[in-house]
Amino acid sequence: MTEKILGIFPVDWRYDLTSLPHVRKILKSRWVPFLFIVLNLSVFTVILMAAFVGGISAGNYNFGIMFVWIVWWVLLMLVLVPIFSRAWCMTCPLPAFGEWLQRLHFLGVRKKLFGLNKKWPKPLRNMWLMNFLFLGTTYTSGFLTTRPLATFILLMTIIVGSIVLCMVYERRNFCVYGCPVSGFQGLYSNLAVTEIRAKNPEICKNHKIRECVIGNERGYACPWMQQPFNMKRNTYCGMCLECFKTCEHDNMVINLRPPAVDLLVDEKRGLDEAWKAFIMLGIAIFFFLIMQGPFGTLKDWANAKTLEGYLTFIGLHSTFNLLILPGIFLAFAFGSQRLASREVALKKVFTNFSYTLVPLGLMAWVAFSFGILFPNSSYVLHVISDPFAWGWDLLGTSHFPWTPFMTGIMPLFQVGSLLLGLVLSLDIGFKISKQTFQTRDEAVAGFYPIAAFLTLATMFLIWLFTG
Amino acid sequence: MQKKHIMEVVAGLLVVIATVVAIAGVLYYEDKLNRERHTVVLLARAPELGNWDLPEIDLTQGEPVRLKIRNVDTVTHGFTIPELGVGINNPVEIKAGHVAFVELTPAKEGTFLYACSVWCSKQHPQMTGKIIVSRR
Repeated sequence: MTEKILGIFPVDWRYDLTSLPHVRKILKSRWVPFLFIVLNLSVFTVILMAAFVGGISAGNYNFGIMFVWIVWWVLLMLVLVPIFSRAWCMTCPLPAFGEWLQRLHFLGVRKKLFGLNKKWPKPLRNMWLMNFLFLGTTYTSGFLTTRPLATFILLMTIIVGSIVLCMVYERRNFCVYGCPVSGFQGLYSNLAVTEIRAKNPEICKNHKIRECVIGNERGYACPWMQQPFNMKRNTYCGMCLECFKTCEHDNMVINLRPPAVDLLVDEKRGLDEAWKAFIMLGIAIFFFLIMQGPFGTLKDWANAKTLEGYLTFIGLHSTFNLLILPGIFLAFAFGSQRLASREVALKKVFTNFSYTLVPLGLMAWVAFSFGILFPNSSYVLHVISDPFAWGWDLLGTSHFPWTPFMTGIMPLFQVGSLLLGLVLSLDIGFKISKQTFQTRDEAVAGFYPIAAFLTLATMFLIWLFTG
Repeated sequence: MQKKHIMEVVAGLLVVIATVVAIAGVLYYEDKLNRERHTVVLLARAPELGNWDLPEIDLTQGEPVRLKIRNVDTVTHGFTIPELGVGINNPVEIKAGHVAFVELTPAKEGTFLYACSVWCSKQHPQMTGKIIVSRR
């Protein structure tokens, strides 16, 4: 019998969103996603300018800060990743310059890419680099979200870094293995309700020339170095749509699907992704404490008021995310192994169950995003009217005062999303338990400690966000 | 010219519009606004972060001018020219990240002190500049 997510959605249910001929035609055009990227580029030009001219001023009234850390972040966590998977990567303009330089074309297809075209080092073909880069980026969260110039420096570093890496390494290795925000989008997109997959695997099986992998005159070899004909998880698919263009059998589709089904794919699970799940959950907790919590001392540490305080913050932040949180989870995984079966390696139990943190982790970020959205989104009305703080009033809203809204019922949204995360984590968790252990009895016994961890973590998060 | 070449040129133009033209357009619009309204731009920063920029403002007696004061600091600043009566009866306060406009027509020539009128830092008393009004 087919398993169901939350007892409602059959795991293998799919609806082809690209079945309409016009939709397919658009997706096969080389203007897509180019036009989305250019549109996004124009917004980022304004963001970069605003962040540059904003200097070190308070970020609340800066277009760059507002659009990167309020609008983009909230959209990413609330809408883009849960619904559209890695659609952001499809439209992201930051690595576009590097890619255009590699191709020496904006639209056209070239057989050989410009640059050294080296292979990405094997030891780095995982999420570890992105784990450390993202964690490292969060060390500067005290400045990034408040000082426009810091946001400018971060974005420019990403643009320049991507150009350099594109000139040294082939295709979009920067996006796959080096972009700080790529890793969590990859992991959390396993939860998304959309996917790009081959429509009929039989067609791909009989098609010996893998054009989606090697490219042809209509499109490039998968820039994300995936095998689109055989893709099972969203993790490393940047949705660039090249496979739609190269596939001569028109066999690629964008599917609507039940949430979180990728988390049940029992292959390629690894400690790098496990740590990504821990780091993301840990950072959600720390970000809440720094940005929305009542702990002034911690805010001062994160804002580097003193060097000792800043180093204490980095030490605590890193230790909690890299050691303490995984350590606590290891204890529960150990309990799971002891209760279920000692024949299954502890590493496997630990790794497999770490994926249960994905729904809860994303929902913790959703809850955190509500804490940004409701109190702060009114600033957006100000900054779209006066994006550079030059006294403009383009839309007549530059004097719109800071107006928090719905903050009274915000905890309900936060508790609701955390509970939804818990339910989904428990549901996925038991299915993973059945994959991990051989018998149903073992799976039930082995799942108790993990369910306890997830429940305790959710109660802690609810207390933290609403207490 | 082949169709694919035309497409490439159009795509390139779109990229230029999204970047270079956007930046140039913004700067041109700001410059146009400032010229049309005889605007002098003044940055407000606490002394330890660079102080007023411009430290000296040259004006002409009897010519109306609009001072655009951008607070690029993280604290509230104020603005006053006591000898010209600016910011005395109607205090000018500029919150962090905000912009204030002060319109004045200097009636007399001379050198006048302008200052921040809100306690903004330990070095607040040093947050001053000069306005030099010369004869037309």
